[in-house]
Amino acid sequence: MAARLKIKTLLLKIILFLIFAGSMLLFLASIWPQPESSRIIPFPAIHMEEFQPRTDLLSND
Amino acid sequence: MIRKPYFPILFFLSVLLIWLIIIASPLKTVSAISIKALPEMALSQVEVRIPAEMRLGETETLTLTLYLSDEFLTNTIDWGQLKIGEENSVYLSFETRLDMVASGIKIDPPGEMSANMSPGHQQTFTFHVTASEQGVFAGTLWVKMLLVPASDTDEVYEKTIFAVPVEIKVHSILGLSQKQARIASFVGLIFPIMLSFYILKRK
Repeated sequence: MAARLKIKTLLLKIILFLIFAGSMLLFLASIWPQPESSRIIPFPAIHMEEFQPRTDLLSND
Repeated sequence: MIRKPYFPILFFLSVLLIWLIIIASPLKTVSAISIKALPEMALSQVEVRIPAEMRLGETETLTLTLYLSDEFLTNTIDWGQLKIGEENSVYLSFETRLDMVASGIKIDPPGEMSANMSPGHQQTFTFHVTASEQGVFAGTLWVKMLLVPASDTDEVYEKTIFAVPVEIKVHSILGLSQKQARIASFVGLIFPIMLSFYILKRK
């Protein structure tokens, strides 16, 4: 009887630890920094003739 | 019989481990050299920082920084017939907009942002991107340059300078959003601690 209780307690401890460890991993997965890409692009040569007159100053298009 | 306090020690060590991992976790990984490593303002350029990957429900920032060298008006722009001088000067303005067709991505602000600039200065535009669906989302970051002649401010000339392709991969954490995962992990961390204390108290 005592042995069975001991096994049950041990099993419960293992289950609790697994829940704790899994939750810890889940928490880390939710806060771990995500990769970011960065690009540096030089300005191209800009020719004045390529500029177009803007038709509507308030337009968002 | 001496009761060995396994559980409090185990939990204490686990909490300590979490804390250490959080402290030791790397900052955002960026796959390019920083603008600060370049010779100072030698070249007019833009720096775009895009969150390549995001978690579901997360909000990240996409930044675009415009650097104009001191010689931007003379070196970068070919004025053609037009002569820019004291009597014939222009105001310089930049407009930027992030276009993502997919509905799973919310962009704030949704429209255009603009700023007046002068050579030798820099300007940063920030877009907040929130992912509400998982998948791969593609879009374009547009940068327009506007010229307003000082003599006639009613006339505005525009040209698209950059169209930077943007691709953001959104993934879930075991099917959960970031907020749901945090709540679940919090419950999962608290529950075994409470239960173990209860068990120890009963012994």
